[in-house]
Amino acid sequence: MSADARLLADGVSVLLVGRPNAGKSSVYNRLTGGDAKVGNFPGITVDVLAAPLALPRTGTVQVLDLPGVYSLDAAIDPGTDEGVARSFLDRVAAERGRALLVQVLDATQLAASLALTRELLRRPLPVVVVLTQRDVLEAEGRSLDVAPLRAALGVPVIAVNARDAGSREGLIALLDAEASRTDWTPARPAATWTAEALAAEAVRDAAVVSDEALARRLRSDRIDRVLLHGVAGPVLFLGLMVGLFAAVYAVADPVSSLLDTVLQGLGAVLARPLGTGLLRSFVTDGLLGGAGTVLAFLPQIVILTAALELLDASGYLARGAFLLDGVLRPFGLGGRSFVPMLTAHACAVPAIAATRILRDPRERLTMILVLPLLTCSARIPTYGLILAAFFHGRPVLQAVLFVALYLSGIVAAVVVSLVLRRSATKGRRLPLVLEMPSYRAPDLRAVGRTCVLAAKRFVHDVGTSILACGAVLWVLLHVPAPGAAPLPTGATAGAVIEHSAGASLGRALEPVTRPLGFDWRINVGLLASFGARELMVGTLGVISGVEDADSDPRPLADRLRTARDEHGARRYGTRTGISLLVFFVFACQCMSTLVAIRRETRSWRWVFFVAGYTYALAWVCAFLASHVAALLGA
Amino acid sequence: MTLRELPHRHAARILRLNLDASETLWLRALGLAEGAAVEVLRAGLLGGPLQVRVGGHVAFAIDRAVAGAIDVEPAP
Repeated sequence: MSADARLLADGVSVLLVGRPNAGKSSVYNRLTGGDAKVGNFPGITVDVLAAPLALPRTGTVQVLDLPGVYSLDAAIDPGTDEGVARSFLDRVAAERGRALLVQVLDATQLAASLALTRELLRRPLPVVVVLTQRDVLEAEGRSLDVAPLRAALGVPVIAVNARDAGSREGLIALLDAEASRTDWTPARPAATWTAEALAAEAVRDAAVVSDEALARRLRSDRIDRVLLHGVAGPVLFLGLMVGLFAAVYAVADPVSSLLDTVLQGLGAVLARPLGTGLLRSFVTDGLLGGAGTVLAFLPQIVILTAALELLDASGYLARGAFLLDGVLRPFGLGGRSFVPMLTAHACAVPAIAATRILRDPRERLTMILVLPLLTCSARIPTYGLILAAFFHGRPVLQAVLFVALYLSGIVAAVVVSLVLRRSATKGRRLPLVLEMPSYRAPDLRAVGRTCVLAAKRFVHDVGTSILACGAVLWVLLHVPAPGAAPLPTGATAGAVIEHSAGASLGRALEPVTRPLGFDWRINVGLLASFGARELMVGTLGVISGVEDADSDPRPLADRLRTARDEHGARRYGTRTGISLLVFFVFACQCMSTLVAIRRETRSWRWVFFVAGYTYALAWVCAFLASHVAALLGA
Repeated sequence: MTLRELPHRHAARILRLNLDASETLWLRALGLAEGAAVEVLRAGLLGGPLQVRVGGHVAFAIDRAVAGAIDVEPAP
């Protein structure tokens, strides 16, 4: 798409602008009924939600929800939300389209927010100011008068209560009146007001201020005394995070297996008319298997999205970042990076989506690039198999190695992130100044809508690519290599794989993997587990002729340990086991992760970067580990 | 005195921002402008950020390095 394509359609557009936490999404949801769709705007790399809104007189207009910004003129980096919003508005102004700027402004922070109003008024676009949080202001014993604001700003000003359906009508009428205007490039006299004085005029103490109202003003402060307490604060936060991790890990699991059972049932129904040939295998293993992989991620994505939305909207996420920042800063990470790093121990795919809470674009990119190194739950069956096969009867050593594998992932992520910040993602770090908004009850409907949107987008953006990759992998593992002798009918699954294109590829890779002790069988397992890491066990089972290795890997472990080559020597020694473990720690053996990276960075370049560096790191570390193991007598 | 050295729960006003031009602009946009009332509420653990109330209502987590570049005048 060309960068000079027009940003907005020909109709009227209503652009919502405002500081983070100003209540912009609530206003957007109220206006559009939550009909959120990510707009497709050429050259814009951050999500901008767009939805149609029918106005009685003007007809249908587009409502756009721009990223939350403190300022347009002071955008430090073009990659931040500020930078994106600014270039968006600059282009809208340059196109001279019919666009209405609606600043959503938190009335409890009027003075600070009027700085942005001043910037907006300098742009040649009509402006409307919408004040939110009037109810909070009144509960705190203050009153809001919009008349001085209207007079000083010279633009329409309206106060709404985002949770009151009646205030929607007033806003709609105002937008309708403004959208049917003819002069779209208003000239304004220079501002003569100062933010502090104007705010003091508009927000005053009510005639009688109750004790309860005064107490409410200090409510956040009192809650902070507990939640940010030197000892209780971190304990509570870590407890909450462990709970979230447990939910992503444990609650999502039964739901995923239920979805899987449903798909298997569907496969069984479909299998009958499809006979026993390749088509049946393609539909049940290739397509339905791929669909199962996609659906397995959904519960995790939804739980994590809901949790992050609740944490963010309640004001607690900023507190968590405050608590952890000192601990993580020596590693070049900010306080908020804790959330994606923890999530990645369940699965990298939702974790990559969770990096959206990082405001610094370079910190976010770095985090996306290192998350695949953390030990996700899909690695565990393979670790279990290898430990059982090569460290049989040594439970203490198995336990030590298991912990060491987890720690290697964390250490590798921190080290690689420090290296990347000095190389591939180097650049200035944004000064850490994070708003810690007052505590408030989250708008549950808005949270629900965000979850639905996240699930839909995941299936649409990531799901389709995962299905396509899964289909390609199926072809590799089931269709005979070109030129291979035809298989006799009724050949075993193991024989099918042995004659497949994937096996030829596995043999072709042997010169590269032989220094690590991997033969073509392990290579095929690695190839298959690129679809999903847990497929490693099942694939090795099929190749080795062990049935149902997924539910009981012990016979397969025995088979791997005792396997002999044609000269009678052991096919795989302890060294092979160690190098395979190390290889699995580092290699980004997961197409879903790579697809998620493509979606969040909107570039294939970083996908290849991650694949390249993790496989190189995996090879080198596995090679070193196998030699160290040899020195130690393994 | 800088914001970093300001005793906790002691009111002060911002005198000057000793940061580069774009960072100064950004902090001003956040509300951390010359003349703004500030009060350090508490400090994060292990050299973590300071929690600073700005203009009486908004609280920010401010990195100690940034806080060290903000000159303040404590109220008497």
